[in-house]
Amino acid sequence: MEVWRHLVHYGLGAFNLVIISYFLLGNGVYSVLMGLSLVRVWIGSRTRPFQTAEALRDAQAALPVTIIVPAWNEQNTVVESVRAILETDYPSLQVMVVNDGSSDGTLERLRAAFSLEPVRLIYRAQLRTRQVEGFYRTPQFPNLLVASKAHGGKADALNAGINLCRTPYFCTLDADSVLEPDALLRLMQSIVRSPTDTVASGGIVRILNGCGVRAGRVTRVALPSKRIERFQVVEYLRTFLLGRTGWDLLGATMILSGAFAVFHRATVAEAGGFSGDTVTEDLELITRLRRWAVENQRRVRMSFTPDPVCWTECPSSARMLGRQRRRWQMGLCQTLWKNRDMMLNRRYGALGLIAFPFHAYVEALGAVIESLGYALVPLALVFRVTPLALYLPFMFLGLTYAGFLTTGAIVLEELSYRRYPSFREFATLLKCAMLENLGYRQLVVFYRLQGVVQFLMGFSRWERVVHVGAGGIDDR
Amino acid sequence: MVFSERISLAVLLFASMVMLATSLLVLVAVVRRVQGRKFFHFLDQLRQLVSPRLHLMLQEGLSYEDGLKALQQLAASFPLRALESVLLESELASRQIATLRRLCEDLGLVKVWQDQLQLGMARLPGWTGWIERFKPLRFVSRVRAARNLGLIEHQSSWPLLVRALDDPDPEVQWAATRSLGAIREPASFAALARRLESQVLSTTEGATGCSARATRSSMTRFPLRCAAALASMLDHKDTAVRLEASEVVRVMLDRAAGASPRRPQFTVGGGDFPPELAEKFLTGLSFDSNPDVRARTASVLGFVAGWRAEAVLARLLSDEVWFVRLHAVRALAQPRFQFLASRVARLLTDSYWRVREAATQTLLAQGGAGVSELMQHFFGESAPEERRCNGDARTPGLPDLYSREQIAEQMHRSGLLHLLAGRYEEWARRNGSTAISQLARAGRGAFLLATLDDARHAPFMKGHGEIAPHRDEECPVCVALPRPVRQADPEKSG
Repeated sequence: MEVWRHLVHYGLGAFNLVIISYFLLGNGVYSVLMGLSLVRVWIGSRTRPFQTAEALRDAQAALPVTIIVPAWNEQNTVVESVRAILETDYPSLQVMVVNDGSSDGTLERLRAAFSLEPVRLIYRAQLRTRQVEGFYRTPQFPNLLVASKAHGGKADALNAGINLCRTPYFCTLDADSVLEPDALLRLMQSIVRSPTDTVASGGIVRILNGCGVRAGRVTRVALPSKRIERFQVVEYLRTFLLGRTGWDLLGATMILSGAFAVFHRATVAEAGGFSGDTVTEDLELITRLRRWAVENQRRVRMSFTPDPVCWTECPSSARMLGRQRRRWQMGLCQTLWKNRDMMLNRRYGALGLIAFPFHAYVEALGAVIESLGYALVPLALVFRVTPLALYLPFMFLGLTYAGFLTTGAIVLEELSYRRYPSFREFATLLKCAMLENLGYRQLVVFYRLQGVVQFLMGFSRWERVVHVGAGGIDDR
Repeated sequence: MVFSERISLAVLLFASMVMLATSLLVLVAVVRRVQGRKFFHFLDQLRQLVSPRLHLMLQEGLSYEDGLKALQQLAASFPLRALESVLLESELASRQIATLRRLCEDLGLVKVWQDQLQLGMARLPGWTGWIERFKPLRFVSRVRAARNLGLIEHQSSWPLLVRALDDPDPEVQWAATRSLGAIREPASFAALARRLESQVLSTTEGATGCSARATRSSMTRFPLRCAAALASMLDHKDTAVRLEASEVVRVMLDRAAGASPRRPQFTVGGGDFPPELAEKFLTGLSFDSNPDVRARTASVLGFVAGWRAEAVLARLLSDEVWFVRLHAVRALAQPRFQFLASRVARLLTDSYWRVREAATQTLLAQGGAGVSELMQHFFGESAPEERRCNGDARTPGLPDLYSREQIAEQMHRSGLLHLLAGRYEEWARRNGSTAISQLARAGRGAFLLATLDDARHAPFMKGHGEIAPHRDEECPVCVALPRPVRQADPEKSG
């Protein structure tokens, strides 16, 4: 009995060290990212007024881009989305919708809305995909092509789009996302102005819930009314403005949101296109592009720009949130495991030495560590491994530091883009930053833990997140 | 104090500091918000006072002297930066820019911008210099100055902007590059060319600063006669430099052609394009060891008048590298090259599908003899399996890789099939049933059947019996690519 007591005692003590290391590493890295992001976003906000649309729209500098929109059972949103995409402010734009074997009226609605006619195209399958069944065009929009294929998943649909793409760059865009008119101009600018070959570039994704939308455009920016959605707003601000901006400055971009990202077509095709063996094909592709660059001794850049904006709906219920976070966590674990040789590997530069270990320990294993913490730390109190007088200050520090980081992201937003103009919304965001760690974070950790378990059990099914509709409120 | 108590105290202290830092962040945000609100309110007031007068001046509804006097009075009461924002916020027509430029000069804004640009680049002595150098965001005023001078197309500021190309900050370099492109002072073109050369060479060694693409974009806005400054780059020993220079020339010609009222027949010759430059493309560059350079040469020569250019283009149609042939055949997509239609038609069975596609498009664009060659090839009597593609040394004699289907696709896209349907009787007399069956075999069965619905195309009814047996499935849609041939793709560099 005494032996067991000692074992439990030392085990809990060891776990305390794990918790502390997790706290120090996670918050330490995020603090560094915050510092870097603060400088960059603030400087960017000072130069942004000079980067007018006219300056960006120089036709000779604008590389032709194809926006590829994979669509599966999107009959409610696809027509408006495509109409809005066709009005994107970009000089040399092609739009390609890939209907991925929808069982609803997605294709029929597109055909009716745009008077699409079937055409015969020779399909050259540089990347292997499920069978492509038909192509549709309209003289009204000569830059629009709709391809219909057998259902194969998002990665498969994107690969079909890549096979058909004739422009040097393509942009992935979800069918239910809303792009700002000048978003593509701003995203491509970072590619045009870069002295190094940029093979992938991502923009910021913001929460559409609560915003006014008309004809596929955001007409009014507002916070959502539901608390669970508001917490996601602050979470996205922290992830994008703090996290991804900072990683980009370190040259260790590991994630670009597939909802809105531009890729160099030839490079992606050479690297094998999107892979369907993970549930987060965007994350997996970025990692593979990095690997491709090292193996082919190519000096390339993958960048994140916080300026161009894509609006997308977030889950509005705990159930849908769970589906989303399980998938993300599972995809992260799949990608990290698939590329585990990158861990602490100098060949992969900052990604191998910093980003990869961070994502493995803090983002992937972190769900397990935190979950165990919620269970074991009270036990440690009971067994007096940790005195209450020490536990409470640490808890307090944990809460305040998390609040500090999220507040930092909100202040970054305030100093730069200020998409939420009213003071009340600013105050609401600050309140959410403080309350996020009292329930919402624990819920997300639980879902992430489920994602880890699913990965360990070999799940591969994509849990579909159902959105309430095209954006938030219809501003008609 | 017990060790654990010390730890607790330290942790509590640290947590307190974190809370204090959080509060400071919030305070900074609130103060910024309040300041911002005041500034924008202030800007709105200024806009209400300035904009009507400015608008009247630009529309010539108010005399320049009266408008200037009124604005000078306002300028005395408002900060310069606010006035600058209001004056430069509208997009103006080119004739109005001259008025705005004069206004900015008379209000003293141009002098301020020039000083900001000059001062920023000056190395001040002593402690002042060090303080100035490390002042945060000082580059923003230089960026603004460089940009503003370009917005008003202030011609005499070009030497300053050329110096700004060497500014330590890339944002300033970018703004200066763009402004030089807006001003288009011929004397500054050589400086941009030198800059481009150094950017290209530094890219091959290690990338820094403003991108070559931005410089190239700016250079292409200059008049065509300025291209003479690229002569030395076209003779450079580094391939990348020659490529960039030839790309600049190509885009300049393309822009000139786009702006020309005689676009389809646009050519250069004599004084509007430097003859020494044309000579370089006709001789050395068309034999360049680098296929990318030869490809750009082909595009350039498409605009050069004269038999020598035509002879070089005809030669480049047989180049060993597919994308050189591609650019050469595209360059011939003008009606004046109809006499080369038969040469282009040979590329309808090129080993590379994009060359075949381009050949089809070129023949369609040529019209007349070009379309005739296309029809002759498409409706020819020989069976597909007898037709073999031109091959190169590595891939000799490939089967006709969907050449016929590709032609049909291009014909469909260009609307030629509709034209044929309308002139069916004429074709039927010449080609009989071959036309219908050929089109159907090439996967146009669905189109043909749909065409029967149109009463204008009644003659097609006669051929109905020939269409039905040919289902579109007979023409396979998907083509699995053969083993990839690793050749550089010029599209990679954009």
